[in-house]
Amino acid sequence: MIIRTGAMILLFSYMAVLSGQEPVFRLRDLDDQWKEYADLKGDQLTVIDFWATWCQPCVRSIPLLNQMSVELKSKGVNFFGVSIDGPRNQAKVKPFIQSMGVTYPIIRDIDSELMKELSVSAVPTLVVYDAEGEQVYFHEGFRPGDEELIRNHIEELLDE
Amino acid sequence: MIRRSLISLLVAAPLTGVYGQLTGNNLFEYQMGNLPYSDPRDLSAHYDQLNLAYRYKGLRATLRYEHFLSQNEGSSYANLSQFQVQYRKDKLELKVGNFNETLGNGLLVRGYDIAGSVFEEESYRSRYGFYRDMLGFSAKYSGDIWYFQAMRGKSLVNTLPPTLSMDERRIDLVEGMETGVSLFYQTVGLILMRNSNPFEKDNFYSLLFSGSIPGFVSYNFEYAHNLKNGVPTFAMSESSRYGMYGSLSYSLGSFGLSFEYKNYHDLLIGTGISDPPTTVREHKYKVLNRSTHVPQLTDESGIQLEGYYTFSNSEHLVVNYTYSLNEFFEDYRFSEVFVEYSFYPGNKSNLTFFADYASDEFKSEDTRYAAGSVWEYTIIGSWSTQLHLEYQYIEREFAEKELLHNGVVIVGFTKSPGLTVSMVWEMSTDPFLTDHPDTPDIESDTRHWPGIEASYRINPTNTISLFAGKRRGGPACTSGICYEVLDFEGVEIRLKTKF
Repeated sequence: MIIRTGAMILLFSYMAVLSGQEPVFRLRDLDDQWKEYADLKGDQLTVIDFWATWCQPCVRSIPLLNQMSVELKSKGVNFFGVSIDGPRNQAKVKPFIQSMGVTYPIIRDIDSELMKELSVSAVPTLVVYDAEGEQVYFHEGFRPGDEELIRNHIEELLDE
Repeated sequence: MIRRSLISLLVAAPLTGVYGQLTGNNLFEYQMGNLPYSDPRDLSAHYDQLNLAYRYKGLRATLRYEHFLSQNEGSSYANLSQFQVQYRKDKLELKVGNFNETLGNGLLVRGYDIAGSVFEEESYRSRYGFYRDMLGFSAKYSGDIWYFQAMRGKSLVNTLPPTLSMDERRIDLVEGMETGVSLFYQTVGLILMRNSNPFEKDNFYSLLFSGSIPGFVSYNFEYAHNLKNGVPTFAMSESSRYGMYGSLSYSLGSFGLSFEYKNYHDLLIGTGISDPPTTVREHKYKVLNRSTHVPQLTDESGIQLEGYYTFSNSEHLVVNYTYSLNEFFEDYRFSEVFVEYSFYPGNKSNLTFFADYASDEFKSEDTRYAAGSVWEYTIIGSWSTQLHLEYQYIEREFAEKELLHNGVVIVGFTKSPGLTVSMVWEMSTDPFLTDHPDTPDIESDTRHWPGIEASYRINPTNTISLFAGKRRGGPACTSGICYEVLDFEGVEIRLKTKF
């Protein structure tokens, strides 16, 4: 059984060097309007932040990401947030995020569709796509000091 | 047959020149240890979950493979536990296989998948991914004005382990559709659903109203009722099955407010396919999460009010009030007031305080106080430390009054981005926990759960975690879903891989 699982992981790891594709989704935003990736992506980079109202590290990271999104907007970097809150916390998403002054768009991933598509298994998780739709950065969790790391990485990607 | 075809597709597609994108993740977990007071103390077991997805343009195929190997006879298994083929073109989406779908607000049916969670039930002792999916097909059209969703599938009873057959684990056949029209930010919708199992067959309808004044106010209302001969369609009587949920959200500048109302009666459908909003705060603090109020769908009504205010320097205030009423042969009330304040003293610290008061008659806990703090301090550069303190005091009265104490202390060190080491200590004087089940006496000595947690991100796609010591179980809520977590004493290693 272990050998079979190992063989499958190796096989699929080998095959995973295939070309990347940008995420495909059609999800509602906070005003119940449908949004697709094309509506939200940036000219240079697209930064996707997965978060939830009940996640403490998310609460700490969101103001810093919001500040970063404002500063990098002119460089062709678009941020958008993905709330993974289920029906239980849906009523809280909009007042929570708006009270924090977040200016980037938020979409709702109630059935974890986008979360699964991007293999996200924890919040907060930050995923960055380039203009060609290639996933170029994946960052799970948020600890003090991560904001500098994320910003430096995005700046490096812009310089490439 | 479909599973074999899917595996063939996943393996063969990239090799035949049809280049798409293959992604996936793997969770490997090894445990050496056992439940408290259980033999052998060094029970060895490992669990693995592999998720693979192959996408070529609008076509996507996914599968989940799980296996569990344990010294416990009868609890080991190896299963291809999920598979799905999905086709998406513009506003149309078709799925065949396993899927998680929710109709409306989940009053009638909700599927979910708690990513990264591993569930274990005390009597079966198998470990497996925690999700409630359906096996069948679904179709969705997401038009700008008109939307439509239909599904037919057998729902999983996720408290039963994969060692049982599919027929035993999938009892409810759910057939449902939802449709609605959206104009000028206002939506009106209708749900029709039938649930059949060997013991009952029920038909339900639900009316949905939602909308917003962009930027300020949003509302959401759902009324669900069973359709049965002789029962009035809109009645909210003792003999009818119904659910009503409403919410109102308001934002102005740095201030945000949400108000929710619930009224559920006889809404436990089938083996539990419904999961209406609890209107109870989902706490991230251990002592509060463990004491959460779980809605009784036989009869429950109540409200929840939550307010937010963010100060100019990102200081954040949360205030919550919750009230629930269960009307059984006698009334049981639950009420809770919660306050949380986060601020940044100096430019190197982040401090959060919380305080909570609750009264839960259903658990005979008339008075429950809790308070605590989380302090994060950046030592230098990417090094930081955390101190996490929680204390809870409970007055419980069954035959006689008991005064209980629960505590949590966590001291951690972190190096961004990948290393975290924490020492965790929990204590309780709760007789349900201090008592040794194998002795005739009722032990009342304080019980302790000391442990060490460590996590290291090897690279952006591989993370290894370690736990050693004693871990306290109990009720827990993650992603809005509540379930029972078992105690554990021993060593646990986890490896998460993404590719």
